[in-house]
Amino acid sequence: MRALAPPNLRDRFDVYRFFNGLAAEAKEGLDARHARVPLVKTFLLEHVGHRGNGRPRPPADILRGLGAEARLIDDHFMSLTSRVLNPDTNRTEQQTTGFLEQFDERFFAYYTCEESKEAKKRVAQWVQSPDLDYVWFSSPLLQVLWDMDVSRRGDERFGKLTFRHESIFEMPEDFSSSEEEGEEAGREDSEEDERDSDDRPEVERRKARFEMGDRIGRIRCALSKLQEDYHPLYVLHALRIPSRMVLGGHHLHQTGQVTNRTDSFEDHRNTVRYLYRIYKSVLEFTEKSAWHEISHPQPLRFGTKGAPLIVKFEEPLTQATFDRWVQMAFQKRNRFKLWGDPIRLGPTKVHVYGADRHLWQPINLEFTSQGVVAILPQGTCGNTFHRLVTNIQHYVCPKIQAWVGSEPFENVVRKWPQDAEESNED
Amino acid sequence: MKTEALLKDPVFQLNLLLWMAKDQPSNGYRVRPFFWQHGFRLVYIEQPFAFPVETVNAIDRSGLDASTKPEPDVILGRQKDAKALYFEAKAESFGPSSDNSRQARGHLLACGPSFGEVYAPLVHCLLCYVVPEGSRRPMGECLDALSTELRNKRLVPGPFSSHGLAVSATQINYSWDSAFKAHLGVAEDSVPVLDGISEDTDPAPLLLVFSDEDCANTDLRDFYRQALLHQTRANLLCRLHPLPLGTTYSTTPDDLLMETTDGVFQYLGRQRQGGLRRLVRDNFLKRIHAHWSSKQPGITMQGDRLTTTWSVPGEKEAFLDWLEDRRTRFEANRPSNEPPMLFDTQQ
Repeated sequence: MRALAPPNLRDRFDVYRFFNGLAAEAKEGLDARHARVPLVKTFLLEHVGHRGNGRPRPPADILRGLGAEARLIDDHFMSLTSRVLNPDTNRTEQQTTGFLEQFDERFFAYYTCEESKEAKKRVAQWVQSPDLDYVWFSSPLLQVLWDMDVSRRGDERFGKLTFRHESIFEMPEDFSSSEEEGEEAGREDSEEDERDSDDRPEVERRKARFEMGDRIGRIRCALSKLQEDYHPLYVLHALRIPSRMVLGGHHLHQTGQVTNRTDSFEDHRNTVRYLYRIYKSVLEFTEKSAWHEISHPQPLRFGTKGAPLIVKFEEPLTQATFDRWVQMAFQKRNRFKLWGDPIRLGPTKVHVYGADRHLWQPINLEFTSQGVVAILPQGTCGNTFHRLVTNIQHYVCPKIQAWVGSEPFENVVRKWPQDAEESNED
Repeated sequence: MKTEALLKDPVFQLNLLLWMAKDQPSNGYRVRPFFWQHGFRLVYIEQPFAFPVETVNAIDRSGLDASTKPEPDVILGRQKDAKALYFEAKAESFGPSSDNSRQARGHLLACGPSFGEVYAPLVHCLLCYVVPEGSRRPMGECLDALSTELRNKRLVPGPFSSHGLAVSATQINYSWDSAFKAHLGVAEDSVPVLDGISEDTDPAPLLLVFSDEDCANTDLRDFYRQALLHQTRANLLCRLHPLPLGTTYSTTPDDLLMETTDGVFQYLGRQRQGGLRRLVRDNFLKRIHAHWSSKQPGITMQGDRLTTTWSVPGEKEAFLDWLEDRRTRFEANRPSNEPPMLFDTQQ
């Protein structure tokens, strides 16, 4: 069985060296077009359970409750040991599966070189806990990352963009079959899904999975026109971020998974830290907007709920699609992770005074065939908005306009740290 | 629900005003954020106005029947010029001899010099009565008559305006008079505030505030109560889900209502608070207790307070599965008016 952690671990730099060795070997494999070892990958995680009661929990406590034992390597870096299936003996045994770095009390990074499928499954189990969630790089945020940064990293560099939209509410049977296939663990596994598609029955529905791998200059010239002509191309699902320092890049997925395709772990970690600062800044701005009424100056001491999230669909949903969406979106196992009992106000309008069932925080929603309005109570976590936008584009309508209050969503996701050097202090 | 009937509903009117004061995009808004766009921000909802002592004495001396605790639906303020809007929404206009005039006299006096005394730095207040458009003109005439009556008794009423709500094709229009135009500095006489109105769909935006005493229409009231019970249920689920086994948690209707109303509950009058408290206690917490007390010894209720303690694995999951299950119903009909017995421990 392959080791997932260095032997005789003394400090975090032993881990960096171990991952560097793996990264170099993996990069050699990639260059030779033969994967020798699994790539090093990082999962950005948000600790959300403390929102509202003001008591953040240490990651070791959270993960212990989820079956992973943490051993502190330094103040903010720890190894994680979990049950792993040994393919040689076909038995599970305790093994270090990866390392967790605590960036601050809200954001953690889990580094691992476990096989992709196993690692995703493990993290998917962790984020079932109301304490943890993925960080949600919605399509608008990935688009801004492309526009403001990646597309300017050199026209000759290799870029790769992945788009994914599935109108799972258009056909009655679609949602249930997607749910069986899906849940969070499987949502990234496009390659596996496609592999045996020849032998599977095919459901006719709008389903778009695209990958554009090309020189950045060519992609930049073509992208906006393609998007205007075909709306699923607004649903940017993953993005290759070419390294500024070394050859190769880092592949960022919507759920905050970053895969290292360079030969440098330090470069990978720097990219992860960069993405963490961006997401943190965007999330803090979202929350500031969503609750902005609470800091009314004295003596105007009273405030009520802050700015709503408003989403408008480019194309209205049909009655049948709307009905299926409302019927399915609040079932126990649903991609939107919402709880509530929809109150019908018309054929294509419902109100739901419910909850985000992943974080268990209240949310009030209006669904119509033309869009969504969502109100987050004070003190709740803003990533609900980002997850909602991500899922709406992925499963309901690929082209949307969205605002938090009067601020267009594309501006919200541009709220990056003002000064990159200063933000390195985090 | 016919939209025309909804325009007379105080809960709809109040929530429409709140949405008009909410930050939203200038294109793509849910309700046109007319007040927000003109710089007005929320100050109070349903907060009784506390008159200065001198005004209370002057009202007493006048012998007029004027409320000394008028309760506006909403107060909005604009800090840059110290202007305020003081809203009262009504199903229809009324005359000077109506019972409503007692409250209207109080509102008029609250918007006079007393306002600046109480709500400084806001100073210049305009009383705004919101009624269906057909009642707008008579409402203005009534306020004019009441103001004259107050001045004749050497009292100082504030300026007033009357606003109308009307359906026009697929829109709801909000209109006003010249006093409002002057106070805000706007040129137009009305604006559409809600678009896409159709016969088969209730046009109401998401409910921001509801208090049980607001609504005379029984069907509508039960609908609003249902929405409030949904919010309360969601709130309780959110509190219970993260609790580890062995933790004792207790809550009261007041705790839950403070959370679900975002603190508005504490500013409601006693009667309004009482109605909501009874609804949550009788139709929600007691129902939970009645279902679970014989099944789980850790579920108890004493007076208003529901307490949960799960000590055996599986108890929490069973309880939460039941509370999450949409087939578990909580009735929205009006609870009894009887207060809880002080020592009625229910096991």
